[in-house]
Amino acid sequence: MLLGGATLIAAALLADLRQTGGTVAFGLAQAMMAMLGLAIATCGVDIGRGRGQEWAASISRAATQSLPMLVVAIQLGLLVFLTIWFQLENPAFARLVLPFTAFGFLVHHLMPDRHRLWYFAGLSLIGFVLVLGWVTAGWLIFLTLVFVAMCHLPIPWLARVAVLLVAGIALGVLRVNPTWVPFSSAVWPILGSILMFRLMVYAYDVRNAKEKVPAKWSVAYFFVMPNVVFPLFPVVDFATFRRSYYDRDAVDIYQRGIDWMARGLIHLVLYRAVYQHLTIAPEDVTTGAQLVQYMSSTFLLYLRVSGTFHLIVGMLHLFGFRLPETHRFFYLASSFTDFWRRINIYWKDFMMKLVFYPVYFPLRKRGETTALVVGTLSVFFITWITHSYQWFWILGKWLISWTDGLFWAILGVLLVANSLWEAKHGRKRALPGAARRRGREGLLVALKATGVFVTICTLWSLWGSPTLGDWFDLMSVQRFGGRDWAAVLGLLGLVAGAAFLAEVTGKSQGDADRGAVADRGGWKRGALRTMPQLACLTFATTPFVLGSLDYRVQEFARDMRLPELNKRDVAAMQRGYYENLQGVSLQNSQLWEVYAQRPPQVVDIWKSGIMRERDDYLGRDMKPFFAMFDQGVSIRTNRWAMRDRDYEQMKPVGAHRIALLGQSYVAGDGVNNGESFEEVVEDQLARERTTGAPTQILNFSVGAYSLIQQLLQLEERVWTFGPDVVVVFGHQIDAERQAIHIVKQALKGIEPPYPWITDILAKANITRDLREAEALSRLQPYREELLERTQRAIVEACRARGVAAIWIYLAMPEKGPAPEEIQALVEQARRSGFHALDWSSVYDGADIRTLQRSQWDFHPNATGHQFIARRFHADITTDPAFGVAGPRTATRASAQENR
Amino acid sequence: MSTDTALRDVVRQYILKEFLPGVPASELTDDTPLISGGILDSLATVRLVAMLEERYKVEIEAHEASITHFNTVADIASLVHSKGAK
Repeated sequence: MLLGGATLIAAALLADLRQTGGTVAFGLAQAMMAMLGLAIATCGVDIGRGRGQEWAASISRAATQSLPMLVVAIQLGLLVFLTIWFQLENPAFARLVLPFTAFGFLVHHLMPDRHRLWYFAGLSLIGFVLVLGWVTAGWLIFLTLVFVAMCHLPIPWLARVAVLLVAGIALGVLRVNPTWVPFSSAVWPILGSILMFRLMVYAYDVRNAKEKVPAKWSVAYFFVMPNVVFPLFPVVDFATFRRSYYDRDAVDIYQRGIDWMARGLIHLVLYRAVYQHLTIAPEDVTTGAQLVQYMSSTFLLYLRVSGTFHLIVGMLHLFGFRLPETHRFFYLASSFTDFWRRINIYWKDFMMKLVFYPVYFPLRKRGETTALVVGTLSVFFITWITHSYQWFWILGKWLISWTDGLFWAILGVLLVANSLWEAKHGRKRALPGAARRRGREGLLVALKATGVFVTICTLWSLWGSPTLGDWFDLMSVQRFGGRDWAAVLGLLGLVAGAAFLAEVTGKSQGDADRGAVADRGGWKRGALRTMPQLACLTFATTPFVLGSLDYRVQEFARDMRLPELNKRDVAAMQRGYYENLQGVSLQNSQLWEVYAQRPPQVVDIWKSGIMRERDDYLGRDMKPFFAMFDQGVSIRTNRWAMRDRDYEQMKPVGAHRIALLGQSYVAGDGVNNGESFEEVVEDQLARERTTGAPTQILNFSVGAYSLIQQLLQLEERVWTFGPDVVVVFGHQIDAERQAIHIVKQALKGIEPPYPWITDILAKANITRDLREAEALSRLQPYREELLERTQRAIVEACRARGVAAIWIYLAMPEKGPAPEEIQALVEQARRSGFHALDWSSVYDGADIRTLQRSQWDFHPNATGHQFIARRFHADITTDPAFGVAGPRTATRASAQENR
Repeated sequence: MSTDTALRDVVRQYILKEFLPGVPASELTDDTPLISGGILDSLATVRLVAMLEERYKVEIEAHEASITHFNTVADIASLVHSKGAK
């Protein structure tokens, strides 16, 4: 057996040496093989040492539990299926970590108690390797162990703290300079997540422990497997981690884990529905109903944290860690202290242990009230600081904002007031299992819960606003009519009703730890509740059921499966070329994840010094003769400051010139010189040309230029090159982007170059003293009008020179808008006088992810540009509007279309 | 009555009087989870600590006000007893 197990382990580990298609072969199958081998080898060693009876007893025990274990295993199988079907959280979790956990759980259950903890630790370490690879996981494990070892240094406590602080600062220096270290930047968010808080708890508990901490507990605690895919990880208390280990019947613990994992899955699916369909950008809030939608959806986005924490804690239950329940009915908390106790119990316990008690105990001689107030405020001050500290380790940047500070300060004051009130008047408590209340009491609790919900929603909206001014702008909605009040009352009624029901049925009190009372019914009670939920959800995902539903439901179900950024975050990302990570927080967790995964060496060409600022309405333009080469990307501008090959300003006799105006993806952001679609087509046309004049395609595109800047570019430079055709590339965020530029210039006091802009600014009452968010909100109703006026100005300028004006809808390889929305954009361009084309199908037939530069950058890569080039070449050689295929001019063609 | 039993009784009576008024004494057993069961929160814990320190003339440290020592009546009595309370 020893030999068999060792062979399995060796085969699994050596698989890494075999490379298939350039990828490392150590995958899920090899990881499972290694762990199975480890179990068999351990069994072999035990038999060799005469301890075979332990295995016999363990397997015999498992046999007596075969029915409940079968029920647990079926539910776990459904959870794995649903997680993969919904593509929940990230591919590494759904396709590697969760199936590996399910496999490891079954083997682990068969093992004698003596081996279980070590086996869990081994499973977790192999899980790290499975996700990160040997080298990255090796570095991560090594660095973690170095810090753990420091907690055990045989020196006085204060000296140990000093050593840890110095080492932590040194690590922080490396965090902000990731190119100084020899390992992948993928290490940082996970290493930060492992060490940033758990190390403090561990050091504290090691200091106060009466006996030496066994190594297996240290390894199991720091390398808990789900952590490798979840950087936002609950701060599990080390003492609780040890104390709760198999402290109840094993199957009951497993079933509780399954219950919580199912709850986590439902939270994450609901989160996705909120994220994709309910969220609204603050600048789009103009009515009371929209304000209600914004505030409630912002708070509901926290379902993601709640869902992942349930999944994580549930997974740990499968290995015997009966950790406390978290996020129990936190939307229905009936007081601020109740909210704090419910929402993130792990953080609350961490703060209580490391901040509240250490502050309270020395101060209590000065009076209980003083100690309580100082202790509670200290908790919230430290929470604010550590919130930023957490982002530092995950993202590599300190994210400190006044709204963040204000949020925690107000919450702290509310908690102090609530605690003082409770200290004076007492708080109604009940023994576990006796929490059901009568109707009148339930009504009172429902009213309180509604008040707390409204307050927390308001605070949450403050937390999510970049500045206090932005929040005031958000709150000062100008329209609040009957429908808006109906929305407010509807939401309040919903919360009150849910709180009432939860209270009178006793659900809101939860089953955090009912001891003997809670475990009445054991695993059966949980299975009877969870199994039908999982079965129904699985049944609903079958093609038979889904296919029989209305197409809109099918569309909705499809969107529920896509872990994509929503429109708001895509727009934020597209605007992000020039901005810092402002506003990145828990509330746009999908966006920060994308940023977190971005390697430090990625070249952002618009931040590489290619741009120069101007003090006129154009704002900025590119520098001529700019050159840069970094990480395989070459960037070059010609003498005319175009990211294109060189051309004479004077058009060659007989040449046909097409001028392109667009944004970064037209300018070739993400590809080398010569790989952009226009250069590919220009080369192809040159090769195909046997006689006649050449066709030159001049690219005047600049990253994030709005349409008004493209019009100015046209007037200032494009005409001097004598184009025959002007092609403007349109995108769904054109109206928004132009409004932002116009507002920025207006607030700087730069006079608009066209009187119609001045008129619209006056109509929208935009004055220089406004904050940007407020000005944008006021201009919002005029964005489409502004866009149409600019488009008309471009068409008129072209017609005045006898130049064809073409508008093409072209998006990046990303989830685009609905076809009706694209059609509306095309129609608008036609109304403005363009010969308008729709290239929204340009990436059809390919997986768009393979055409993106990377997960954090949706610009088309070289293959993506090939796809666009194919379409461009087809149109340019068949559509007479381009002037290459035939004599018909675009102005004539568009006139015909308009007729 | 042994010291430990007496200690448990004092702790139980205090909890019933201060935090669970109206609950029969028989329902609060030595093993009822107090912290993880939601009966003892931080505020209640520090009040209980103050009572124990004053009554038994012992000193309880911040790190001892944890789930390890305060989750059940039996745990609490054991901690106070280990500090030499009589």
